[in-house]
Amino acid sequence: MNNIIQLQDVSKLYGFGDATTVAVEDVSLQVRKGEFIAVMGPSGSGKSTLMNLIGLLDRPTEGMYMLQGRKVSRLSAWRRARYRRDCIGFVFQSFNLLATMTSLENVALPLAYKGMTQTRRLKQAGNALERVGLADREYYYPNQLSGGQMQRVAIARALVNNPEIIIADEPTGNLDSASSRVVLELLSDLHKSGHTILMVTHNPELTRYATRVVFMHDGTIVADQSSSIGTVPDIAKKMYLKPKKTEEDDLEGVSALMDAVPQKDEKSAKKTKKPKKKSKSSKKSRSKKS
Amino acid sequence: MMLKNNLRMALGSLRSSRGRSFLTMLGIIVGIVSVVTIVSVGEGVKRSIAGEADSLGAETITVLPGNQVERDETGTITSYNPLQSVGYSLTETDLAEIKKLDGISEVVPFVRVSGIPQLDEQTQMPSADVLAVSGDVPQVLNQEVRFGTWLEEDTSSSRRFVVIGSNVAAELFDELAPIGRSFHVNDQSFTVRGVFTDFPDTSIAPIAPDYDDAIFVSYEENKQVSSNGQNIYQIIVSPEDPSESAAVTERIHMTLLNLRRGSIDFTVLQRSDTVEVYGDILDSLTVGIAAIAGISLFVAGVGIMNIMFVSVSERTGEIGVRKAIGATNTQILGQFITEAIVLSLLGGIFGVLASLLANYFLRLLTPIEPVILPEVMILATITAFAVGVLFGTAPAIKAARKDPIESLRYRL
Repeated sequence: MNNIIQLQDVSKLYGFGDATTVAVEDVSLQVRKGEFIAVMGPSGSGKSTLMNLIGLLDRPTEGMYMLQGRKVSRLSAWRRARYRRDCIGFVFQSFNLLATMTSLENVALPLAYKGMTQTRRLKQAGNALERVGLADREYYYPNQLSGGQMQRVAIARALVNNPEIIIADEPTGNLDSASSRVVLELLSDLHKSGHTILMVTHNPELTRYATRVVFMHDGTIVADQSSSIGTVPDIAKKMYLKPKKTEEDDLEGVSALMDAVPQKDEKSAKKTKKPKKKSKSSKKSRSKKS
Repeated sequence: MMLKNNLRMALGSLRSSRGRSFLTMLGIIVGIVSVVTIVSVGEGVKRSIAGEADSLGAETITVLPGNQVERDETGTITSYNPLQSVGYSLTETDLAEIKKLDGISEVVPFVRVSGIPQLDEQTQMPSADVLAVSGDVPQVLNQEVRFGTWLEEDTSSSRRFVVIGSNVAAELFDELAPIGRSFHVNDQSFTVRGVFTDFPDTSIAPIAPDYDDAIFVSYEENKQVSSNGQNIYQIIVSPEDPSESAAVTERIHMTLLNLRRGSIDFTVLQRSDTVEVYGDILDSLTVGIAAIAGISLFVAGVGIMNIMFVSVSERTGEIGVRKAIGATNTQILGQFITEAIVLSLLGGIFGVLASLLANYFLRLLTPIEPVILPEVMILATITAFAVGVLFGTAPAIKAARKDPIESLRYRL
């Protein structure tokens, strides 16, 4: 059993009595080392809560969670903090860099909580920044960096302690398509180096980088499908990419608008990925993209 | 290691909000300056008294009736109660016995003579003290007779001579040197033989009575005419060798104790004791006022606590990020406490420097010469540190307890 993450009937409830909210309900999930999982689902489906639970930012109300073979469901805040520092790297949609520090200092911050001396910290941080290709931006402040650069700095910070797991909550949500690509290529790179990656995303295109896609809805996992890198799994396509012709002709105006959205996606997809256009038009086969 | 990191982070965050940090520090600075300045003024006055005491001349020993002081085992005075002298007085016997002791060069008894000195129908001086004395008073009081001469111990002449203080000359006679002039007290007539130079101005602390208002008459002559001419209210003794004054004091003490069969209803004070007594009074005063000034330090601490609370609120998002990347609650606590301590400690150091400046200006512009002791500076710094710890704890705990997920919501 090479499961780095094992969730068993995990639930998270907020409030009590009549006002109880079930954010995550009886979720069981196994993640093997080295997987790249894309977590998808509508807003309110519990994706972020699940990520918080896996990332030890929160404790499950019920159920069991085993991380790297150790039971972590009822750990104290202190121990959870240590795990977060050493085993898990977070990447957020809004980057969450500290504005009063340079990118080097930001990246070095997790090491500061390890008690490392200044020189060693900055050196290791420099290496991490090099890994993400921003070695020349060491002394820039976040407000002097572009969105994509900030996210890469955030990734470097997530990497600096060499964690096994990287949790990315909509990492490209605030980025344009070009920066998104750079960031995803970086994550893919890390995946290839052996990190386990969990990524929440709304963009089905990004599932190309993943080896597995998990769908959530109303607090439970409704679908879990492995896929090969480069392809968008069927489920993603079904849920997000609507076929051109829909059935709802009665509400013409509204459905026309709704139709317009998926169409727009396909158009831009066509723009950036020319070879894909070919495989899309051939409805027969799913060719593996090289 | 964590301490250095925390210090660095604290300085960084204080630097980024320089204006606010300075305003918060100002409270501590003002508090420290007030307390240090008050204490140093007190110390300066104490030193002035000691200095004045030195200027009053060689070591003299004062014997007083009643037990006016309490001492502890080491002999240091613990309390001073001048009212204890009421109803007691020293006697001829005391005087005679003291005169017999070794190592003494002069013994001067002081007796109060009642009555108001009058020049004529219109001119009198109620504020003058008529004192009957014997012996070499100028030597014992370390004072020169400026005009005329001191009294002589000869009772041949029928006239009674006096030596007066400079104030008496001015007020009663309106003259600088009324030598040979006469006046009377009750129905006794006296002639001025000499006028003392101005006695040193002991305005800051009255360690010696103001003899400028005194009229010195002969002790022996007074004994003959007055019924209570033996009510000695003070005996001043001058030791032969000033360095032996402690031993002489002890001898006098034993002698008087014997005369009274062991009951202590007298006081023997060395010059240093007098200084000590006033020093004690001054200390109590200083402590009292400094405590009031200390209230401002308390207020400064509250200011720090307030600002730190605001800071914690503003940086909720930052706290969330730090916790997400692995900071424990304790590490967050440490960070914010360090910030509060750095704030107050810096305020303390600036406050001490500002006190030195205040000290300089006080010396320049006023007659007061405050003395800032190094102990006071160190204590002030430590107090500033303590204020930071005390008032920084609550906000730091608040920061430590923040839930990371909730806090991250504050990062948009």
